[in-house]
Amino acid sequence: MPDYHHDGLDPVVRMAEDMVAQFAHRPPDDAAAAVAAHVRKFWDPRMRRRLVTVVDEGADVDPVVVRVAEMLSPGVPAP
Amino acid sequence: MSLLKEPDFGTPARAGEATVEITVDGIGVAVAPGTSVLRAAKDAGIDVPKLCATDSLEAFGSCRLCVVEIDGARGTPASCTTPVAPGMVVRTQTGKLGKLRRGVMELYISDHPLDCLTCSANGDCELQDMAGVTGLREVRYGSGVDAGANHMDLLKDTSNPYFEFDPAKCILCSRCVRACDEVQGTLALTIEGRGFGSAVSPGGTDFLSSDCVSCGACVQACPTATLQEKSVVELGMPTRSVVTTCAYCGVGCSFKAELRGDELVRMVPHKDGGANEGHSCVKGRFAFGYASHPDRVLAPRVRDSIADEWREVSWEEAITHTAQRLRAIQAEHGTGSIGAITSSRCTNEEVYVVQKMVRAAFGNNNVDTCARVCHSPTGYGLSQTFGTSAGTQDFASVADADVIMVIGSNPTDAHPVFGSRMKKRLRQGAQLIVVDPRHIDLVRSPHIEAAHHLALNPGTNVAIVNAMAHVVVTEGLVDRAFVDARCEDVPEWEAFIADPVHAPEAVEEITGVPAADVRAAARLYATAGNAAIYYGLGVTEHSQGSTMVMGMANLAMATGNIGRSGVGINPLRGQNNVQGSCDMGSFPHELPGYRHVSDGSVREVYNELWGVDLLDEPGLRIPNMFDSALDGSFRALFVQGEDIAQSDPNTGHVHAALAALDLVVVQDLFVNETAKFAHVLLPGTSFLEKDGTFTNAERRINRVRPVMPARTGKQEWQIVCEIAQAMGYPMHYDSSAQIMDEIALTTPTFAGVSFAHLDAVGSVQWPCTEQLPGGTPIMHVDGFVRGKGRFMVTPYVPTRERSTRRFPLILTTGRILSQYNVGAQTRRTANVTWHPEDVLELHPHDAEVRGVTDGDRVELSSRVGTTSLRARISDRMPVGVCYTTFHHPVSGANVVTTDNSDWATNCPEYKVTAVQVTPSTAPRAAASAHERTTVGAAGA
Ligand code: SF4
Ligand code: SF4
Ligand code: SF4
Ligand code: FES
Repeated sequence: MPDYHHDGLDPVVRMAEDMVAQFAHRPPDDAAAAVAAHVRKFWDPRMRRRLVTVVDEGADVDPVVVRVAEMLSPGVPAP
Repeated sequence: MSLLKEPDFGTPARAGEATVEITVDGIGVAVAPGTSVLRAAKDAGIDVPKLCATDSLEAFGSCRLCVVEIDGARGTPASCTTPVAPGMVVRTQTGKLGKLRRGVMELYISDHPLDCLTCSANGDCELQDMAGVTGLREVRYGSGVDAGANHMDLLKDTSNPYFEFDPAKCILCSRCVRACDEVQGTLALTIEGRGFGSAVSPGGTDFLSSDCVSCGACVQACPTATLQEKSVVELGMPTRSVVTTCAYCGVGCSFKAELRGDELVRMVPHKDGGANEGHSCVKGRFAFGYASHPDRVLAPRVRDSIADEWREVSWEEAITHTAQRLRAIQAEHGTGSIGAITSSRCTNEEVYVVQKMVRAAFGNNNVDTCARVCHSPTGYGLSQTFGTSAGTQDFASVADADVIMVIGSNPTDAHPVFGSRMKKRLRQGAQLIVVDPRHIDLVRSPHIEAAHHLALNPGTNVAIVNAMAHVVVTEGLVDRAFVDARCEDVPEWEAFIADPVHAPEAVEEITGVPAADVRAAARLYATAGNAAIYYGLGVTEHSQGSTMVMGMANLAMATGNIGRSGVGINPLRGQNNVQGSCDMGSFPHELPGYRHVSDGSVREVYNELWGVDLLDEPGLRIPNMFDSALDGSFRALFVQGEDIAQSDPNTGHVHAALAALDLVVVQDLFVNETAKFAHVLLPGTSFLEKDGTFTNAERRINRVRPVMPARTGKQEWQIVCEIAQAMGYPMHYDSSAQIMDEIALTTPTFAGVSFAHLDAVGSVQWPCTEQLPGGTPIMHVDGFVRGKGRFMVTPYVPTRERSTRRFPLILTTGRILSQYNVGAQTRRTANVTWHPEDVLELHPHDAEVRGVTDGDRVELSSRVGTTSLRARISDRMPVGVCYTTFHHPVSGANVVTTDNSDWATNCPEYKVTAVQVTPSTAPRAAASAHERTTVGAAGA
């Protein structure tokens, strides 16, 4: 996708990182769980899939985003 | 004045029980203490003649037409300035009084042109009425031009585009001056000179050059034709009147649309309007000409590609074509490849059917609304903390506030009628705290001065609200009783906020606000009695918008400022029906009434009624639709009455996304910027043609009544239903009232709402149920909607957007009074007199170092785009911050705004963009960075 944001970030990654920053005061696993819950509640499934794919493909992202992507991976049940 | 005359009680009502009993012309009446004799007489059914008194203004006692006799009192006092006293015996009709009144009228008429038959106010003039009532038959001093020294050759002032001032007809009652002072609060008018030489003056200049903001309050108050709408002068007195609701801002003023046949002559504010109580602003009062503007599209249009010319087609062809294309795209790219955006300009009923079309006929949840880009953080933040996505108070509540804190909002420009109410309370002595980077008008205006103006750096709202809460917690200002009884998650929050990193001193560097000011403001807010927060897009349109909304909710809960009159958290909504469009289920994760799509029991209600199987997963939000258009998974968009190509941020991105879609269907009044990317254009109806409801910022559901038939031949909800039908989903209503019945049937907070109920009671604030037929003016009175109020931890996370050497200034955006949003309507009215173009406000220092002088054309660039505007040097801006509006497409303010958005809701960060300003020599078209570096991305 062309980079209209001029920061080289995939939109789903930038959104996930914005959320992670909001929960930075919590332990990483807690933060990841809070973000994953938010994503489940507010994101279209295709965006969740995209986040998982982008992270799987090795995008350079915050480790908590990686944890979020794991929690959202197909087959992982919502808590 | 107005055609449909509501009773005028002469002086304002007084609060309190009717405990004072008096007798007027033998009739007993009981009224509240402080009521005037004039008003008490009216309550007893007796009209005392009057000219200088009217019930929107405090009595003045200048005309002496309202004289009465009171047992035991000397002389003949003016009844408008005489308060009632227990046991008073009043006579309003005696020979002596009649003579006195005729004498007064004789003097007036001797200095008044006797052109009643040709006067524009003929039939709607209180002077004429009073001449009749008092039985005036002769004028001993001569009259009209035959009289001695007179004012009849004074020149008219026609400078205001909407009303004229003919001083020859002025009776110096001063109602206009008092209306401007008391109702509007602008203080633009004075009586200049003395005795025979006295005259009404807009500050020694003409109306247009004066401080006048053209609200119309003086025109409304004038009992003669001195201040008169030009449309009445040109078209003549209206002959019929329909009560309806303004379609501009979220104040939701009620108006009487006054017409001759199907021609709208004027809009007169309605005294019984719950939101405005007879007041108005220049937009609702005068800027309605767009509805009959020749630019309006009246027949459907279709084209295969956006490079083609439009082809006018029949309704049938347009609807069939749209439905077939939508289905074909779904067949090729999947159910989720299409979606719609609803509009906050449309009625609840129109919005409801669009989201129903998406959910039931499209079979997905890809529906979003323009609230995404304005108040979505309000919905998120208030539902997390209080349990409901709406403001807590009615507008009238401000009259009980002791401290008013205005955050990121400019009510005198953006919500003028509420701004006037607020100013009235401030003039009475309530204290004011303004939190805004700009020195907005409210900070200092006649008789008003903010106790504290916290001129913070853009993007640091959360740091400020946390610092205030820190002061409250660490200085022992928490309302323990309230917090203990009504809130939860208190200890966790208190521990978080008491951390010294939130102290005003610690964040001074970040916010730019002296710590002592923050401490003083926090103490004032916490201790002054009733403290109310009013906020606007300066809170929500940030990457931490939702955090800030929760931060304000925390502050209000900690100080016990929730659940009674005079307090609360009050979002000032931008568009007329933002509240309603959100209520109606326009968000991709929520069904009507803010119920999540994953809630099986709610889905069941609709599944059963609609005969469908609703999806339990959220759909795409507007910015996600754009991203998905560019990655190819989203292919078709139905846009209801919105101009996303101009109003949404990072224009380059939006234009590329729209150009990438296979089908864009636009329903609008005009060929707007978005229509340039459209394949189908479905003409919409103006608010004058709509039949439905709008819900304002105080949750007030107001009726929108059709003033004239739809000029397009179809209501917008009919078109949407017909598209759904053509897609194979049966959707039919006989009337918009039936749509509201369905809303009431399926949405608990609307259970008691129907057109019949609204017509009977005027308006209601939801929740309106069988148990609460009168609605709910103030929420969370005994408990929060979610049970306990929840404290939320609100860390301050700075925006990604940073100023750098390349982009050293911060741009923030907003609105001005006379224009409205993308300007599609107001630009097509005489309101352009006040705002012909968007300008860039710049601090004198920032201008000087760049060699920019006032009026120069400058280039404004950000990381995403460049545009060109005229500069206005203004010390309202702090150094390092500049400001513009987005009312005109040519200046394209959103070419420079970025895709940064609120972490929780994706509401764009319009309020913080790092920019550079350089002098430019020639005007140039707005261009996004992408257009500058890529060929043909935007397609427009
Ligand atoms: S139009 Fe409004 S602002 Fe202007 S003079 Fe009249 S009352 Fe004052
Ligand atoms: S302009 Fe109208 S309202 Fe004002 S003083 Fe004259 S007559 Fe009265
Ligand atoms: S304040 Fe808002 S609703 Fe009222 S007249 Fe003005 S634009 Fe219309
Ligand atoms: S109406 Fe009472 S003095 Fe004019």
